Amino acid sequence: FMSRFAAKWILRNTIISKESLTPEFSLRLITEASPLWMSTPDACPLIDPYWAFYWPGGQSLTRFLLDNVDAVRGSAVLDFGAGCGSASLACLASGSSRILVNDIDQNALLATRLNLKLNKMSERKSIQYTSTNLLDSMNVHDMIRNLYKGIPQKSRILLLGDMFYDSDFADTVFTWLRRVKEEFGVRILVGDPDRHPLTEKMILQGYATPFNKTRVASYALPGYVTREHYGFTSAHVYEIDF
Amino acid sequence: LAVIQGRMRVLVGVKRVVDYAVKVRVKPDKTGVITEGVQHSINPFDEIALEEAVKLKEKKQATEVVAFSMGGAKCQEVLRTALAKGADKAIHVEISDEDVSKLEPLHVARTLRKIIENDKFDIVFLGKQAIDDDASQTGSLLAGMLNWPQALYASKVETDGQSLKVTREIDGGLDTIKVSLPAVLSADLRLNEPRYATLPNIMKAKKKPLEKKSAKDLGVDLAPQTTVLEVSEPPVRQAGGFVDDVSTLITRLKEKGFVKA
Repeated sequence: FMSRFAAKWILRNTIISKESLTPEFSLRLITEASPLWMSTPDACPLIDPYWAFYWPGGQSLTRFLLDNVDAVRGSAVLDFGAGCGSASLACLASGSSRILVNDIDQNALLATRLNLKLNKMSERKSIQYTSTNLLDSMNVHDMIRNLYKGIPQKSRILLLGDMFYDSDFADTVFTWLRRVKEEFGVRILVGDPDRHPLTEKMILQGYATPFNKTRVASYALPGYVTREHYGFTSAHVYEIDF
Repeated sequence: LAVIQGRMRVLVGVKRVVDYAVKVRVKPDKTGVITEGVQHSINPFDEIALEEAVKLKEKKQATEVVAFSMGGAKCQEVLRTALAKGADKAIHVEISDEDVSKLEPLHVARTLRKIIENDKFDIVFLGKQAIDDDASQTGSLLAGMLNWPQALYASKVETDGQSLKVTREIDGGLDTIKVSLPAVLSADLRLNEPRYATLPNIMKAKKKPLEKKSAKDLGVDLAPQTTVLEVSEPPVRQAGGFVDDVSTLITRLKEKGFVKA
């Protein structure tokens, strides 16, 4: 029942938008044109609808995946914190073999399904969805093991689109990322508009797990995206290693 | 002025005050006004200061905007609003609810000075005055303590990264001055129109860093310098009267002794 209510709410309260770095995809979003744009979070029955926005870091990552088909073809992908699902859509479009769409919010998984349908991509059998908190388990989760089984290391990808908005959370994520990389040799790609947890010296020095980041792409954000996400005029894609 | 990409850090003071639309009532004991259970919000002039700071960041002339508030626990609401409107970080100097009514601009200026001593800022941007006390002192006190130039009642701000060209609204009209950085600024009404906090930014604001400090740890003396003797309502206006024509008006004015007979 909850998911039918949520689906109806999403269909009624979001607007189909192509105004982004990736106009190839239509996505159901809360935009400037939506009455909810100016509302407060308590006006939304679905709590903290992060999946209803196309964040700058998600946009740059999705653009990169669409533009780098060679890197994506035949890959097994973990879309961590999938949100609206744009990165998964791009991987499908660029020829991934397997995708695990992960978001602790069930409504994000629902939004991803709706966006896939909207872009006529829902018939693919290669997608799995999970709302498990992959950071919770002491060991690397079985689902990840199964995802990457039988796929050569160079085709194993782990995506994080605009997930580094909070330095405490970032700290936990980096520790987990290193474990996953050690075990599976994944290529970790992060989309980010340079929020403080990835750029500030004091914060970087404070993380339990040090990391290296290499910029692989930069995109200027269109004016309306900057207007929506105050002050960010560009977004980048970084490769993370340890 | 030529515009160069700057690296300025801006500290914006935001005060939690009784909302401008509230009909304020004096407490029965006449020690102050009733603030319990009354709608509060961010001081309107501080909002304008914040908007200008965020605009500087969007124009790439500033790299970071930090919001500051001093007061009780509920200051956090005002700081989250500031974060939702574009501030990158917030600093809350918390004092007990009883001490809030005794807080004076001098204490706030001293606290700001301590914050600035530990962390480099290029501009401190305040609202020209708070709508609860109308004191309009913090900016000037701070500028004096830091020995920084001040540009108050700003209605326009331009910068080339090295100095500020500020147009100020004064009684005689407009006054344009150039001040070197670092400087203290205060915002007047016509400086800009603050943006609304939109839903995605309210959501993201929850994740932005909000640091708590105590006046004690900062070594700030909060001993009150003033005592409020009495707060009372303005006298009730006496009813006026209408007269039919000018000559009757003059007669009436002479009778009441306002015009020499």
